[in-house]
Amino acid sequence: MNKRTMMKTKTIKRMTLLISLLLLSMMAFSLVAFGTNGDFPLVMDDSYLLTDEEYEALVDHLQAISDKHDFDVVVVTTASTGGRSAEEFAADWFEAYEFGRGKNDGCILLLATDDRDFGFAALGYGNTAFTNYGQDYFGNFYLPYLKQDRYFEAFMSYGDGVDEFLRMAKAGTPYDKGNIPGEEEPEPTSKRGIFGAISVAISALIAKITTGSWKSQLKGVRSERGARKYVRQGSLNLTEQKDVFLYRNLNSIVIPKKTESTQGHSFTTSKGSKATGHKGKY
Amino acid sequence: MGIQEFKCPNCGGAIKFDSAEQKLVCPYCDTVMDVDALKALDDSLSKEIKSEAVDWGYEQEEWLGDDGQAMALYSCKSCGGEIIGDETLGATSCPFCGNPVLMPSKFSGSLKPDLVLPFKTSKDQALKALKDYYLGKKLLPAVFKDKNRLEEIKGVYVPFWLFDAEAHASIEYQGKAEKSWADSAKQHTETSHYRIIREGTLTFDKVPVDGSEAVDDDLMESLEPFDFSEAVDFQTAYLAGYFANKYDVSFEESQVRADERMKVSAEEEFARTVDSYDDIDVTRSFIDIKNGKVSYALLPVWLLSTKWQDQTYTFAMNGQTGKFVGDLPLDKSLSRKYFFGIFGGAAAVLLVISQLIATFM
Repeated sequence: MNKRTMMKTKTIKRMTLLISLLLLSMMAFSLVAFGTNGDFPLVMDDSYLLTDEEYEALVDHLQAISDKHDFDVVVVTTASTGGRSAEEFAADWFEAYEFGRGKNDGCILLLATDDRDFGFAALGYGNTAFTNYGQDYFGNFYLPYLKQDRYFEAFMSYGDGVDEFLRMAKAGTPYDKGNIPGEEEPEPTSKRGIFGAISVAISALIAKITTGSWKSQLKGVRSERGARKYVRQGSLNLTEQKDVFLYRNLNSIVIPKKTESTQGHSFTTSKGSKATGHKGKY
Repeated sequence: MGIQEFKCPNCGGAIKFDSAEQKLVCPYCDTVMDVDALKALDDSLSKEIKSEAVDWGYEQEEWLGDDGQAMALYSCKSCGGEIIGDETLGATSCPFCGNPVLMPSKFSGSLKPDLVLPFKTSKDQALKALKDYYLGKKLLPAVFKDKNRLEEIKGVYVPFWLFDAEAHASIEYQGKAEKSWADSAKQHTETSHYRIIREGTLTFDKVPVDGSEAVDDDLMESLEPFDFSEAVDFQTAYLAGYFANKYDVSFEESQVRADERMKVSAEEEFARTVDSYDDIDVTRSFIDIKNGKVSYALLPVWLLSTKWQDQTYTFAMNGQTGKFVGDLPLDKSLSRKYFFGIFGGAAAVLLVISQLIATFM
């Protein structure tokens, strides 16, 4: 089944869902991949950012990771979040379509293309695997691709990131402060040494400035530069005063963009579930 | 050339100028005389002295002291003691009887000062000012504060040249005016360049330059300003009880310094008229000092000197305003102690704080 056919099928399914989930569940589909509820695919590309081939490859990739960890890994693209916070909108989407395995285990990456917003939410075991601090590092997996509109690479890499984060969490060492690749926590000893050296330097400066000001008190003889005290008041008489414009030049400097932070935070979904996530612009 | 003493018309004692009373006072019978009232007496005495010039003039042949300076010999009219002074000496006190002695010839004819600014502060005030000057100076050697070290204190009328002049300036500047704004991607800075021309005049009144070789120029400039609105026409009587020298630096030599100071201030004043720019550079400056008028004045200065570790320290107090200046010695070992004390104290506190921060970070 190609992508276009599948989208049509999805629309029908959503309409049918409103009438009767029961009827929908009885329909036989041979779609490539669905969430654990078996009703909706792990990739919902409403904004048509992926080609058919990319779509199928991504679904396969995410399905494999989801099955490996028993953890739904979902990607959604839509036009807008309707003014809601992207990560909360993503979490509600996750629950509305009944994703999640076991204790609601899973995560979702949602793109709202109108305003180039993205939101990530993780529920269930995702609260353990995706620490607030670790999510800043997690953003490195997909954000650079999103900024270049390389959506397929972004989503594939997102899947790899989820795989990696779940692996680390299961090993008892989730990515968190002090356990982020390339972000070595300074040894307490060296930190103390640096702080100590700075303290000594500041102390020397304080001593130098203080004794320097006391030394200057001993010097009272100074020659006068000018004779301002002897200018007759109001005697300045300007006989010529010209300001001639010569030329103008313009210098423009590109404002460096702030480094995007995707550090996460915890929140509660509309259905009351505990979730963690982050949002941003791409 | 003779010497002059102002005698009390009541008891015949030598009278002195009193800075507090601003009058001549006899220290023996407390007679008080107005300076103006004494002017007639001053004139008559001068005439009388001229007639006695043969008896009291300094030696006709010029002789030189060790430093090659022309010296002169005077005789005190009160006790007959011989006073040796340099050729510029105009007023002093007799080292034998303490009477104030004046040499009117040093301040007569073409050498007569145009103005004198009378002393308004006393010797006691100068001594108190010196004590006060030591206060709060942490690095001053404690032994230096001992007033017994004071070697000499004297009220001196220092000869000054006062220059009135107009500075004619023609100055060009390069000015920059910047305007900055930003959009979503870039920060823009637009710089407009201007050629700025200012021409005009600025008038200076009585810029003082000391006319004595013996007195340090920087020390005298440190005493400024003097308020010349209180200056009066010169009368010899004002010098009674003080030291005074005639000038030995000509006004032509002194004018160089006056011009220098006036040019600096003229540039500063004209630069203030160029205030609507973010940055200005002077590209051309021509300042001519014109319409100059010079006057010769005696200005009141208390000079104090102390000796410490074979070095003489000279202080000065403006005899009119009481402003006190001078360089003091540095106690190097105390300076080192303070440095290491402050360093140690600050380091102890900062190290504790920084280590606590490092631990909990």
